[in-house]
Amino acid sequence: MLLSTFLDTLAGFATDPAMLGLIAIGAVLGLILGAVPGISSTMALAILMPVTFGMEPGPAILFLISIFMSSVYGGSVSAILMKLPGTPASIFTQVDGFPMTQQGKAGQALTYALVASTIGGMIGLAMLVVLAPVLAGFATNFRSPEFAAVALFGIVMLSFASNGSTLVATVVGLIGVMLGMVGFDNLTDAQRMTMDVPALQSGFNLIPVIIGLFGLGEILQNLAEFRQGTSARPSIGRIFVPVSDLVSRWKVMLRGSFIGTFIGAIPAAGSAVAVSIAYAQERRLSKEPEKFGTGHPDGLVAPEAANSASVGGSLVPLIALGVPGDTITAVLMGALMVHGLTPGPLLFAKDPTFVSWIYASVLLALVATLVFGIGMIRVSVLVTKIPPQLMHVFIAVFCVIGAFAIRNDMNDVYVMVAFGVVGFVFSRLSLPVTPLAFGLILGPILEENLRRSLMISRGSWSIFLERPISAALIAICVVLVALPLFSALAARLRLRRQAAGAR
Amino acid sequence: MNRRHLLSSAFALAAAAGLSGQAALAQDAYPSEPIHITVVWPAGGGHDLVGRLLGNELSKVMDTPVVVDNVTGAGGTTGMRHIADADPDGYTIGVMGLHAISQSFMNANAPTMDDVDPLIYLSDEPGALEISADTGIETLDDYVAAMKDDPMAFMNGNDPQGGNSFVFANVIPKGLGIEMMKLPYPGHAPTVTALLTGEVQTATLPIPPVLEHAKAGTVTVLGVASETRHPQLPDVPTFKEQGYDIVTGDFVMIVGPKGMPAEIKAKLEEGLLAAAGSEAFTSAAAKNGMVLRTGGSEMAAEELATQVETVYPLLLEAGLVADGLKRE
Repeated sequence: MLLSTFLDTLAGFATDPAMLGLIAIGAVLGLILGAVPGISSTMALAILMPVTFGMEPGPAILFLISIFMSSVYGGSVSAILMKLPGTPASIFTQVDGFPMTQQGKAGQALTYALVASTIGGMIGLAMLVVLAPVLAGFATNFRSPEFAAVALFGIVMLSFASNGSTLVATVVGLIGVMLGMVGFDNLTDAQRMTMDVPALQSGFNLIPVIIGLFGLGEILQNLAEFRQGTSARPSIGRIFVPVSDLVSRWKVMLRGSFIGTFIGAIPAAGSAVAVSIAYAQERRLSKEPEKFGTGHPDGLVAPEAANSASVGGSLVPLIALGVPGDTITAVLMGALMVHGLTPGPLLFAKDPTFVSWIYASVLLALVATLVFGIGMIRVSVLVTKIPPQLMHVFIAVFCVIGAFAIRNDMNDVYVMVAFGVVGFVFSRLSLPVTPLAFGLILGPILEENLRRSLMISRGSWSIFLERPISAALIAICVVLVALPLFSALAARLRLRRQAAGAR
Repeated sequence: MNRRHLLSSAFALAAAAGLSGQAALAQDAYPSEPIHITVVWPAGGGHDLVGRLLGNELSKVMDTPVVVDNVTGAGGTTGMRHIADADPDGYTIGVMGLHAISQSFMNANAPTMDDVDPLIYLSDEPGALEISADTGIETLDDYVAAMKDDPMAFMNGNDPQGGNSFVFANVIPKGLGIEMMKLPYPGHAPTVTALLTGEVQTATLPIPPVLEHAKAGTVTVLGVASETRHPQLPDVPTFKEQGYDIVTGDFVMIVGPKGMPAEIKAKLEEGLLAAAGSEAFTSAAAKNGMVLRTGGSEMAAEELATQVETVYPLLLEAGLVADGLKRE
């Protein structure tokens, strides 16, 4: 019954020029707002929400969802072209996306990202439609111990997320975890490591830190090299990526999409966690992990598939439980309530047309993003034609605006500048910066849930082993850590035996 | 010397002209610029919705654009400081609730309640006690009996210290004569999730975040901590009706920085009251479970003073009042 309602709604939307116009406007606005650093998908939705107050509920949902979907890809555009993530969901897109721009393959990088986004989004939607009831059950099994185990899993994966020494990556990651503790403690509201300075009380917000580390750090790096006269702006290159090449990456896209959907479906985990795990996972499985971070398409495709897929995932708890999966869906839920539609457990029974509205909107928004995204690649050629000196000034300005706009707080700008210097120093010392971002995302999640789990169990650590999902995750962590140890040991034994045999 | 003199007098003239021009503008044509409503929480929360809905109507009433600024961080303190430090010209106002009172005692860097000027009182947000339907408990008496039997029978989900549901989680068990094990969650949405997944069995959230779950029957509201029943849940009795004298609640008001000129404040108050009374705002607010009790600046100031007196002893007892902020 749901399927026929869905098809009817889809046909209704697709044949109505006014609806198509709305999708187009939503997609273009979402792409542009998403691409502006500092305006996250959450803010794009919040800014445009009042526009829908005068609309009927159906068109309003369509409009908002098309902004939501397209802003996720929009965020990747600035990540790829300028090394500035437009949204938290695109923080890992720049790691391999920007090197491709430097190599003159920006066009291809944008195409990879767009195709991966579209496919990830489709898979996320398919899983939303088919698995919403099942996934909702899966999501309710996620309590504090499971969140802690997921964060631990992510931190273990962190050592696979960058090149070079695992020890260095782990240490840098732990510094990130520590930085995540600055500010107000999530559980007691007590101040930690703030030294009573107002600027530190707000803590280190992820976005200013990332913009500083990657954006401003890059500019400082360029300035240092500029004097040596080696900074030439490469062209955008070809846009076309051979279909066979895209098809050959189907595994990467599938893995990214599944990780994205499942992590997206866990309430409050969010797309930033999904992309971190998807990226680290892909690098670990890759045959050429050393090429990650230097412009490897797989390093771009995995997080892009994951962030679009997490949109479908994040709608699962919203539709099935009435609980927003992240801040973006929280804004969406607020907008729906203004229209008198409250997502919640009664929804499937009470209002199946509303559910099919959402499904149809996601599908059409994906198509619109694809169409306008291709158009946008052409336009972005203009961006890369700007002379490098001018471009650096633009990026520096955007770094400041982006850091400020996220919370309208000047302190975030100081944080951004400080981390710009950190990023520059790190790259001079050849230290990886990616694990720092990892630690900052996962540290607070681990700490909060670890402490709450121990409160629930009255201090007994066995709570993590008594619950099957967290026990399984911890077992995987142990295996991941122990595996290189065992294989090194086995290799050494084999060598010794060979040496003995030779003698 | 002469030239310098000329310059300085020119500056003085320009400054005087500028000043008088500004003053004239402020008197005759307020508002002549966009009004900024500061929301101290991220986009998507209850206060954000209030800011945007009210802002939409205010811009029609005052015939000037209204912008919502989410100035977040430090448990709401960054935004409160933004309001208190703004020029008192009527172009920066903000949405405020109980959190700001708590922070003013817990954080030496937070503005005190003397640094802000209440403009209008908007709504009450009564506290309540909810229990998961999975527990099988349907009445307040059964719950109290179970908790007296074993204080660890049910765990309660609430905000960290200072949040409104933390205050409720202190006031309600005291009134019921029971001990309550409190688990902190960073915000209302995670608390609802914990209640639904069964990590906690009870919660002391206000009604809006649990309204839909209460209607669906997955969550039972055992009592509402207000004088009258909640308009969205007319079947749920108050604590008073059930024999417990518990009245506690959060509130939403609009404040500006201290020192706004009287005529500007009056204009702003009038405009805000008109916006809050508009059909579009009241119907949208009701849909979101808000209990409107609109009043002007005098009522807002009175309510604020009452709330300060309620919250301070609670925080003091919990050992949360910062050293320099203790009352003599």
